[in-house]
Amino acid sequence: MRFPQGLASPARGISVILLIGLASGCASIPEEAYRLPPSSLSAREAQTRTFDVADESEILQATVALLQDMEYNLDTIEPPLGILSASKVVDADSTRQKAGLIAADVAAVILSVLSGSSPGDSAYDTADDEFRLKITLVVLPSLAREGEHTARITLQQTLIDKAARVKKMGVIDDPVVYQEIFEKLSKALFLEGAEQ
Amino acid sequence: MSHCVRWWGFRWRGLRWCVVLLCAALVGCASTTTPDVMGSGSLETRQIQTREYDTLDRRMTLRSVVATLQDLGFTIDTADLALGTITARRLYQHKQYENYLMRMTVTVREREGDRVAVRVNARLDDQAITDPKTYQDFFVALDKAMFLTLHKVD
Repeated sequence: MRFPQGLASPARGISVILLIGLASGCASIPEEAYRLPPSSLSAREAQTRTFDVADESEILQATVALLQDMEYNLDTIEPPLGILSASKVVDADSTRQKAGLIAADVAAVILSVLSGSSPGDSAYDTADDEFRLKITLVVLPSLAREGEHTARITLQQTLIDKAARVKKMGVIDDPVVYQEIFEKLSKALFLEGAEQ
Repeated sequence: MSHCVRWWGFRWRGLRWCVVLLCAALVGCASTTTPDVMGSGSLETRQIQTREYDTLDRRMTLRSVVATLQDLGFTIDTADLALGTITARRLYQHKQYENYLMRMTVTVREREGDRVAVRVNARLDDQAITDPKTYQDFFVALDKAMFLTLHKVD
């Protein structure tokens, strides 16, 4: 780009910075945000399972029952597209951590009673973070195998502390998590089949 | 002004460029008292956001759109086969300290001559994305999903 004659070098520098700012807009988008990650095919494989079930609604019903067992709330369901989304909020602290925090609070109360002072902030109240989980399941007739159905799951997590600060967020990419859900879904389908 | 006037060590003409660009930058970022109800959508933006396909029908295109959104790590908020619309969100952490909420609305419509038009609107946090590169990336991902659907790969 050629600047007009008479544009002195300090002014040129400032103009270039302003032009770059204008061109990039007010918000910058991370470059890879909408780009397929190199691991997308392996992730797709881990998130997908084919079931030898001919009826799509049978899988959706079993999934709803499973999600209810897993304490999720249904957010949206669109059977013609085989789409189902659900979410839940869970404590991030383990039961063991919680027991430790409760014990610490009990000890603090006993000490305060003995010493006649007022107890400080509750360790239990200040320590717990929460996970917000959102799951989408898509059940569709298999393209590769006639008469069968594929189910694909996407799972997102947000870890939020007590002050509503986001500590961690993103897609859960651990294949073991998906494997466990599919195993439970297989069992739920088996039970549904046995009940009929 | 026929000749340049020196002012604070800058030539006046150079400074004038700075002032014009600074004003443009401020106008771009400043919030106004009237909310932008109508948005800034233009024909050019619509073209960037739209792509037509003649390989799959509307239902199978919708299936590929859902697969693409899942490939990109989105979860589905709403879906409607009759209207051909899907909205989705993705929580995205960049470099462990930048958190974003990415939202997408995708519509799939039938066009003349067995063609199907896919239109995508993307938002990052509260801002509409107009950057063509973002939409190109999405359509590259959709092309791959359409290819897999066409070749009957689950």
